[in-house]
Amino acid sequence: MPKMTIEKLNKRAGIFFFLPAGVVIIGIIVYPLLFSLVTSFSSYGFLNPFFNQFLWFENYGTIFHDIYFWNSLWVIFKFVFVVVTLEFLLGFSVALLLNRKIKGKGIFYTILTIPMVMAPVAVALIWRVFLHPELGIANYFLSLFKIRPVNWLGSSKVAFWTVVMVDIWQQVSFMILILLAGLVSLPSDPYEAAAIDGASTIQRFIYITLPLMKPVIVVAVLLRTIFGFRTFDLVYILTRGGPGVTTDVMSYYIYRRTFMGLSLAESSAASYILLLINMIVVVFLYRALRMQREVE
Amino acid sequence: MKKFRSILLLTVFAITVSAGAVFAEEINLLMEGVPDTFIVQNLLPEFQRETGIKVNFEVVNYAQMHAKLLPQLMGREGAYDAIVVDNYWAGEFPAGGWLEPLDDLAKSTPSIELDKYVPSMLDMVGYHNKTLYMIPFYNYTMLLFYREDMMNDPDLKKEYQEKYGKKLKVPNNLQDYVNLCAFMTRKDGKYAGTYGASMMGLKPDPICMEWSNYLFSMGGDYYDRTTWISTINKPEAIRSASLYVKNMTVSAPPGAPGYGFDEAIQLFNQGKAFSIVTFWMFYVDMQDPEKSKVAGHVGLSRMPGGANLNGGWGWAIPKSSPNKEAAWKFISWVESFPIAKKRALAGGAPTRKDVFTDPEVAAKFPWYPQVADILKTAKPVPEFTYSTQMIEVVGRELSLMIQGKDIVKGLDTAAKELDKLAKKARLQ
Amino acid sequence: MVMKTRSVKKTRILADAATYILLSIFSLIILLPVIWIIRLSFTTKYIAYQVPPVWFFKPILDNYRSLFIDYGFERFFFNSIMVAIVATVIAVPLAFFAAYAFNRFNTGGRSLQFGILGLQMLPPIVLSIPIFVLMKTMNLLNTRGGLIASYLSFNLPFLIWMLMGFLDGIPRELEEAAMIDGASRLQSVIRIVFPLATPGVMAAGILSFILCWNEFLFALMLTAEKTSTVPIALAAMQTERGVMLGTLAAAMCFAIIPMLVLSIAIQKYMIRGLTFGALK
Repeated sequence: MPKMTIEKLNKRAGIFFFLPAGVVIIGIIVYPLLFSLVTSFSSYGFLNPFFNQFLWFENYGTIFHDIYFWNSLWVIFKFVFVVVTLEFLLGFSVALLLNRKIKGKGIFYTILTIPMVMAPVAVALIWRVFLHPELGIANYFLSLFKIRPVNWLGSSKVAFWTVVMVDIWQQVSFMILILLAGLVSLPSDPYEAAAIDGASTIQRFIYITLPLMKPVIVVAVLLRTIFGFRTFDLVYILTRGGPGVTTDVMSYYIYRRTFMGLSLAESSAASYILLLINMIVVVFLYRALRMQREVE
Repeated sequence: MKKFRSILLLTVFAITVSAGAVFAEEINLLMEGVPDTFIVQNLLPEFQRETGIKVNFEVVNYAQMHAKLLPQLMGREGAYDAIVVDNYWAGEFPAGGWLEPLDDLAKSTPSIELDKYVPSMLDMVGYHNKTLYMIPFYNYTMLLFYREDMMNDPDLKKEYQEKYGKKLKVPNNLQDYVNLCAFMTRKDGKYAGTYGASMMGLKPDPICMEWSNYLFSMGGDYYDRTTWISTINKPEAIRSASLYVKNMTVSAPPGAPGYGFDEAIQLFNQGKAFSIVTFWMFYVDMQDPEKSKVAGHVGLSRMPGGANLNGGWGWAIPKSSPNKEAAWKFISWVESFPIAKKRALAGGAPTRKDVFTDPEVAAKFPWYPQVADILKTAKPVPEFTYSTQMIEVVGRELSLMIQGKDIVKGLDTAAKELDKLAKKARLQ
Repeated sequence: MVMKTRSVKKTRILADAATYILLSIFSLIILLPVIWIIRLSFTTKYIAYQVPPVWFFKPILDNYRSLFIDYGFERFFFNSIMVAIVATVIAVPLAFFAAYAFNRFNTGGRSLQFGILGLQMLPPIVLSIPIFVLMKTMNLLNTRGGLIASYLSFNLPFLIWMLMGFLDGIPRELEEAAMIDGASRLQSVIRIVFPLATPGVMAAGILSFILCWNEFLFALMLTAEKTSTVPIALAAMQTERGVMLGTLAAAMCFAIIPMLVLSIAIQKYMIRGLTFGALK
């Protein structure tokens, strides 16, 4: 009897706590979501801003048959995978370093979080100047070490990696921020016990730090992945999806469908396909990262 | 008594002033961040003094402008009383039914003298399907710019004569131009490190606009402009594309496939290129010693073969405009001859014949009459509902061709997609 | 015994040295472009593009002057700060409580939790039109309030998930112990759980601020002249006459300032050694 009451109480408390956020979410999130879904089945667009035609899955069909949709999907997946992996490895290493007892951490921390606070548009514009093959400071710098100039944004082989590089420069601070906050919140007990038991640094890392950091790591990777799929400004300014279509990310594809193709219906359909695929990836990631913890 | 009277006077004064403020009209325009906008902005207080209407300019970047305008245009009442329309959208906006026809207004307003405009401007950002929707604001035709110092250099002249058996002069066809660029790509000697051409391979706008000059100068076009069947895979187009790719790979800097307008101009201004095809407004900067290493040595000419790419903006009144009357008052003021002339003297790019050839203007900018002449035969890209998408498609294919895709295949793909767009716009 | 202590000390010194070196290298990689941007803000475009670079040039304040006189940058700056602060102040508490509900009670189950995240996977472009229509009908176009409301649409889900992750590391026994002692759940959450979650809350707050500060698309669609934010101003410097490099660099330098201030202010919560590390 008491157990049921406690569960009920908990459930009520849960709803009570969630409600304020819930209200906002319904108002400002569910509505656009539904609007987009309905739009994807219609012929809504700038030329025809009305829901006067029900097109079933015609828009989805159009998108499926567009080879550039699949190209964009491939590009963004490749991009997110590379970028999140590298930023995580790099970010975690830096966060671990910043977590040690050394002086002057404040300065390093401040410096390392600067790029994250710059607007992506501005970062991209400035990097374009740096990466100018003839007049840019990047190639000049390389020339000081007798390295041949790199065709950063004009070569279809290099451009993708250039965009990756600039993204890492800017976004690694995101990882550092979250992971460091996680490290700082770790309790000291397990470490004291381990010290008494004589565990080495590596053992402490593998058996204490990693498992305890699991939830924060999961969140950091998940969020960065979701943000990564939205990458737009960087690509738009650095390469406009080129050279050729080597950096044509999905958000740019959708931008074109909306504002050049003038069809919100088609871009909504593409977005929902992307949403579905994203959901699968995210759930998969979540389960994979969480799995090990539950096993323990 | 005295105190009471002064308070009364003050109150009456305050009421009058605030009444004036209430009745003062305000109109809002969305403008692009270019010098012409700022030139007009400086003249706005004059307009306010004359008419009492306050004009607010909201300045954004080109790309954002289109995205921002569309939601405002499709509603019944939008945020902007008047707008400026780029020639890319000059087909899209009327086709969408978003612009107010201006024929009657223009006829009944003396300060708007349609016959004084360069006809190619009115074709481009004026009329659409025989109805007047815009009044031309400013022009950005593309021209060929080249280094006069290199053209006049005796050693280069001698070498050229020996190599080709002809005199070194400004070429009059595309093949000669491409050969000249190859020749002017110097690896040694006085001009070592100079590239024949500073080109812009960034897609979609820069590469497409640059290539359009090549296409038009070979007599090619995107569509047959009466039947709207795509002609972009015809022999002239193929030829112009292969010359373009050749120029890019042989005579342009290695980074050119990623250059936008800015990068290409900066390279030229730093003295590292012999020629560049770009917007004519940049000429002023090229000749400015504080901005360019080659100041004083730059000549201009039409595109070898004849037709340059035309581009420009026009004033328009959206159907969703809250205050169409005030908007028209503004347009008829800003495009009146005296104001148009003031703008030109301040460095704006004219659209009226009489401003181009006005003695004061021609004295300050001696190359204007030459530009006016070139403008006569300048041609814009086809303007219809999906012009921007057309540019995107062609830009993509061109970019792929530079990276190695077969030219005929690329243009065939483009032609197919362009035909689809024409069908979608119900033109075919 | 003495030997062991000395070698432990030696390892410690080596490890510390390695840490300093690595951190310095990373910081340099981050810092060099930033220093270049600062340099850019004091020079003209002509000099900016000169290579080899001109090391000694006369610094000019024209870019900063133009920023305020021609662009009216203070207006954008003020709008951005206001919108970011208000959106954060609203979102963080809402998100904290929702995250608590999700973490402790699994409210709505995984479907609700993944559901709110799901929205974020839709490209903002597609959401911008319905939000535009929504704001138009509620007459909130061209208002800072409307923009703040639209920012909550992406702030909340991210913050909720972030805080969920941090709350995971705080054992339930703590607030349950407090409740046994007589405190209500709300009191125990505020007095016990919240302080322990401080690094996470701080990180969430900063993330929210940054997201709002850098957000571009909604600001473009929903604001006009008087309510535009910093990213709009920055984008506007990319004109068809070329990028106004000097002014852009000046604007960027200015735009970093609030973030630096914030970052320094919350540092003591984010860096071990100065705080709430010890739990019990």
